[in-house]
Amino acid sequence: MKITEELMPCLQGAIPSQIVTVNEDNIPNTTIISQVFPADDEHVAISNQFFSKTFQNLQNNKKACVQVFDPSDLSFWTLDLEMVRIEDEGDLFDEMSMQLEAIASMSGMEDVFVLKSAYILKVLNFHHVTEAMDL
Amino acid sequence: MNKEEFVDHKSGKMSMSMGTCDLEKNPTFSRVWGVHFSDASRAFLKVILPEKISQKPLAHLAINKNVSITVGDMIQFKTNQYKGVVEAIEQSTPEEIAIAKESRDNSTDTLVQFFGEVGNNWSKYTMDSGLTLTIKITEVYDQTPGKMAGVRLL
Amino acid sequence: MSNQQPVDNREEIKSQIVENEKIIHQLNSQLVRRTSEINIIQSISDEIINSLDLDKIFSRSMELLDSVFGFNHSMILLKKENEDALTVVASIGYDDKGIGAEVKFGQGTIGVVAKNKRILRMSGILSKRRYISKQSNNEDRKLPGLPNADSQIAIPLIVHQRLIGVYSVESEQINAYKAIDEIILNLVAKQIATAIDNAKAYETQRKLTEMYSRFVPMEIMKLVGYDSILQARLADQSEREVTILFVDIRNFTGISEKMSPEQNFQFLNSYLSFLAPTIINNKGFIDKYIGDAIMAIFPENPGDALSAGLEMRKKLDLFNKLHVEEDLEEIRIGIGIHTGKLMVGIIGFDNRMEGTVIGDSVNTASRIEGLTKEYNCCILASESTVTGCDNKEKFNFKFMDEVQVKGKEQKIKVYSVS
Repeated sequence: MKITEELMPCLQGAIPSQIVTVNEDNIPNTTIISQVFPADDEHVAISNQFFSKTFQNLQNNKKACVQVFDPSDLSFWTLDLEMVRIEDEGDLFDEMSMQLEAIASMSGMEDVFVLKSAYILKVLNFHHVTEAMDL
Repeated sequence: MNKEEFVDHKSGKMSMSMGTCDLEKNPTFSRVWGVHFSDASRAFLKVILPEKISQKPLAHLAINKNVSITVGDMIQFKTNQYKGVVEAIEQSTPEEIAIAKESRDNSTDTLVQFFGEVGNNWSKYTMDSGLTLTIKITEVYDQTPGKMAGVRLL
Repeated sequence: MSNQQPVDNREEIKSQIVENEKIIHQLNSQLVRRTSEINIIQSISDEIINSLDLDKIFSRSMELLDSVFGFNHSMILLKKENEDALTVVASIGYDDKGIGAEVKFGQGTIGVVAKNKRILRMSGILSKRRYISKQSNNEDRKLPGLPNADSQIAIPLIVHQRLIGVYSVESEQINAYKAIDEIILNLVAKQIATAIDNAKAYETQRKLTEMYSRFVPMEIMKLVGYDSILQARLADQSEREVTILFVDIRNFTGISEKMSPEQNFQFLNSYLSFLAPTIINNKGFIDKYIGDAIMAIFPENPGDALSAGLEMRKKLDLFNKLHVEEDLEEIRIGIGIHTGKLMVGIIGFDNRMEGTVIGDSVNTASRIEGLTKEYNCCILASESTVTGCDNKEKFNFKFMDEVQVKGKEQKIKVYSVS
């Protein structure tokens, strides 16, 4: 599904996001991630730093769901995703690396925080969860 | 596990999300509120799921009672994850709704501090009616970014 | 039923027209916005690209981007030479302008952009920083810019694949910049980079010319140990043994009184153009002109100065021959040569530097030159020059006297040279 313009502000990492994946025993796993990056019209990317269970689950089951916030009104969207590939080079990887390096280096941590790889997920569906709010 | 590692839903910094999935391993997220221990032994967790967003998680829970709840401090990122099995789903009592509202309103103040005026939108998350899930805790993990991330606490 | 069909159609067409008009209006307004943005970028480009004044380029580009696109906190940093670091050279929207503040490559958004030579747009910096700092005990780095910047775009300024600096805009808002801002900055940054590069090239050329105009002979630079005049600093110096030659026109005051200022000028120029090559041809250089006198330095062998002296005599004969033909008075010169230790260095003020030699030896050489009148000879050299000379067989030395030089305890033996 094509990522629309209104979803873009949620994909800038202004407010941390959450991701849920599932293991082989149908047990969900939730965790906070700092950013869901827009990869192209139909894909997003997440950075592999340390949430290892998420990545372990994605090897076995490619389905995931993320929750992202629009910083302009604090409403949130859920995106149903499917893992398609792992990248460790290229434009998107470089961009994500730079983001991480820029932030880490502000605290002198650029040697510790190195992007291992970027997980690229196809956007299957997304939903602006407006019913959760009395806007 | 010491007391500090548990949730303090009144602290006003909490972001609470629940993950559920169907048997085809399709997961989804639901924003829940007022996460608290329902008994002295801390074996059970109660969470309030606003009714307006309950359709999909309820469909999942009808066939798969496994849940994962991440309770994160939005400011300091002190985060815990609770995994468990839903044992009961009941209409929330007014007291439970009050707990949910309290957790929402306390965190609203924190959000205003950090995001300015727009933080007030947090109080618009609907809380009129909800379902209270009673979850038997099976595992607890530290998810605070850093060395302890992923360490099992229970 | 049947006659209702056309009505329905009409309604449909009507609503379609309304819908189309809406779309056209939308497209138009987008187009207008695009065009006006492109026009603005064009005018920024025109204005700065034609400027050779760096400060003007900095201030105008930042002002325009502020007023048109609302980039109200921006900074321009230039790369330091031979160092992977940048320095803030201009800024707007900050209480403390921060000029001179340094950013190392790889540090913060600006440093990472410089290192990777790629634009970077950041949102939610504060929240991301907290997320990272949760995992470290490190102190935050002090970097120039807003302490509470939550959004930032930094863009590399590149000319011919070479990074010359970084342009940075920031905001305390959480998600202040959109993809369109990136596009705008990308366009403008290219123009700014080119303008800066042009202006810098011009500035370097201008500086070079200006410094040359300060009359620091290149040879003095070399003696002090520099390849380029741009490296020279005041008070740089070294002590060297050199041979100093003074040459002066006898009774020049009397001669010049008979000439108009213009004739005077022409006369001196012509005279100097006859004599100057003899110095350069003999591995010497002219340290300075003092009226009609020349002070020359020969850093290598004292024999070089003696050879130059002899050549000067020959050149003077030629000069006189030409001048006599023009009905001008014949002139005579005196040449004094002395070898000794000297401080070679750069003196003066910032805007008027002078490379020069300092020391008793200069006074001695000048004094010896004065003696040529007394002993009625053209070239007089001190003993140190005669003994230091490598090719004595080329010259005839005649001991003239032992003289007392001001400021010297010992007497100096002087020889006439032919």
